Amino acid sequence: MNNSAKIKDIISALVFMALSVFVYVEAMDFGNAAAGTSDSGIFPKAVACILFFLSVLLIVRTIVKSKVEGKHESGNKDKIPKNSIFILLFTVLYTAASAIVGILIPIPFFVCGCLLVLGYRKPLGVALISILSTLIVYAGFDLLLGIPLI
Amino acid sequence: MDSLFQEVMQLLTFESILFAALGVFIGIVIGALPGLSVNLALSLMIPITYAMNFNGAIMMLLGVFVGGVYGGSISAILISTPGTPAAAATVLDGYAMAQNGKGGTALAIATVGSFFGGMIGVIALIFVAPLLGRFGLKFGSAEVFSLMFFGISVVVSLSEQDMLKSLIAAVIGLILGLVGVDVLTGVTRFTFGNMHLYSGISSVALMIGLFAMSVMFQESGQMTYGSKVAAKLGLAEVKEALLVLKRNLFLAIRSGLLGTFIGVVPGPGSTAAAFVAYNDAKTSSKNPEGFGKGDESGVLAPETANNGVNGGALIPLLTLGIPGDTGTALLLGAFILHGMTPGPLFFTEHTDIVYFVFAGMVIIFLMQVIMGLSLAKIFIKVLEVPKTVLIPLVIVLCFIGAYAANDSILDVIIMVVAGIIGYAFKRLGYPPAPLILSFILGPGLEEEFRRALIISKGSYSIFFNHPISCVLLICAVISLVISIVRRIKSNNKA
Repeated sequence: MNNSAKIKDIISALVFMALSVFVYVEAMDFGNAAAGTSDSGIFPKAVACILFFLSVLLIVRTIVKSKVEGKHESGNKDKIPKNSIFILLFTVLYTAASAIVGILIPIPFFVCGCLLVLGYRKPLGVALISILSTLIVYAGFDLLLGIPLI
Repeated sequence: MDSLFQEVMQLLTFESILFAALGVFIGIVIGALPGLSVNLALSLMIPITYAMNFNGAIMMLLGVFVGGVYGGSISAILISTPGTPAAAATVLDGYAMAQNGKGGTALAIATVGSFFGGMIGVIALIFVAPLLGRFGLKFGSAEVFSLMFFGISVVVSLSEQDMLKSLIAAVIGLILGLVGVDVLTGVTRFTFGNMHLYSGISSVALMIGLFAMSVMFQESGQMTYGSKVAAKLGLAEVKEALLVLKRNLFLAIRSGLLGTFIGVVPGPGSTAAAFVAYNDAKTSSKNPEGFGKGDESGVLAPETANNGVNGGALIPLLTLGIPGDTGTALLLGAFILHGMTPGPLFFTEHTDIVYFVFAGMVIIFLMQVIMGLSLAKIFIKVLEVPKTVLIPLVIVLCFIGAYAANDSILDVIIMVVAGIIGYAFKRLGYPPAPLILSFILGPGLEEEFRRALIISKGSYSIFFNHPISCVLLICAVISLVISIVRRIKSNNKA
């Protein structure tokens, strides 16, 4: 286990602990059970406690492991590839744009951006794939399946 | 019986058979593409079937399910890259056969073996499912809760990844399943005042995000395939494959049964089945040193087993509402989306649907063998589609798929967030399968848990006083304990 993996495990465990606390606090408002009735909060509270316990266990295990195994440096494989970051960014941008102008219009721009980032270098191909994919999606979903995309 | 036959025939329309064929075709194409799994294919197709009637939709999805597992063998044999994890064992001898100039024969053996294994699974489904269905009628709330708990525990304990992280993923799935209106009290939970969340997080958006979008984020960082070996699949190759099947009939039956049995047990799935069958074929072979160098039974055994899983995995799904693996968990989501909830009462309340699924599976496996042998050229061509083009197009399908179920941008946002979480999970070593399984089973698990408590007037002893429930809970604990002990032992050895 390298240093970067240890840090990631501890950070993820802390995030899950925070989530469990949030779920527990929220569940306190879901009502208390009288005898023989059903309480909406009982299950979320139980689940939150389990998550908290498991997160603590993960932190303890990571610390114990790191003491036993010693320190190892992390390699390049821990880095997120540039392509993945760009695709992720485009996806977020697309989602933001679709909330404003609808789901169909940003598609050609998204496809075009992705093709270029992923290394597709034929300008005519990029234009054709971007436009055709949008038209096919429109024809298939809007016209054929009746799902309004505009 | 006559009326049941008529009801099944009414469901088995020309339209539904056509959708099944389309599903098999799409499943094979997506399964053949490395990186795109059966789960991705199913999660992309579920929203498309949303506007369709139930029988057409289920036939199409079962077609994708079956075709996807088989499709993985094409790239395994021709480019040494399994299209799906289930085909990983096929690479060992399939690619070696292709390098020896017998790629076409390897493809034909995979096709024939897949059909053979699939049919063994379907026969088991037809005979075992009704028996288990009758047993399921004895289940009350405590038993159903314990069964669901057992299902989740087995998936967690058999996860190939870190068990603690699998458990955390399962609990996160339970939390996501809490969002929405509580069916027992009407209290809204974790909706933040958003009316779109009253019916819960869209399972379609979550599935697409976790199983398709996250894969695309990952694949965009790995842009290359292995080198492709040419192959020809004609009548001569089919004849040779049939001779291989005849020579290894006992092995094929054994592998099919092994796959079916592994399919019935929630958790291990088709990948484990393929490797178990491969090892079995190798250890029982007179020529074990030939394995890995292009042995025909090294292709036949894993392909027969991983398709046997399909029928086996449907047994607990239809009779008990417990999915055997991620694929069947997605199918369970699709059933629920179309207003059908598999479970202990499903056999008595929807007998026609159950027998329709049986008949549909037979038709689907027939289609798979016909398409696999006759359209091989098209499926081989699919491997030439560059990832640079494929990735943006699949992501667009993810957007539309998430949006289509409810015409809601919120679902697209949920899908993207789920995709990012899924990608983070992959990088941090948290498996997504326990998350989706507990998300799907979670609401039922909670409902049955609380119903049982209402019946027992708040006493937890109901889960231990009922023999079936008690046995299931003990089994759940045992499966987790065995898994922990096994891991500790393997860690000590390492």
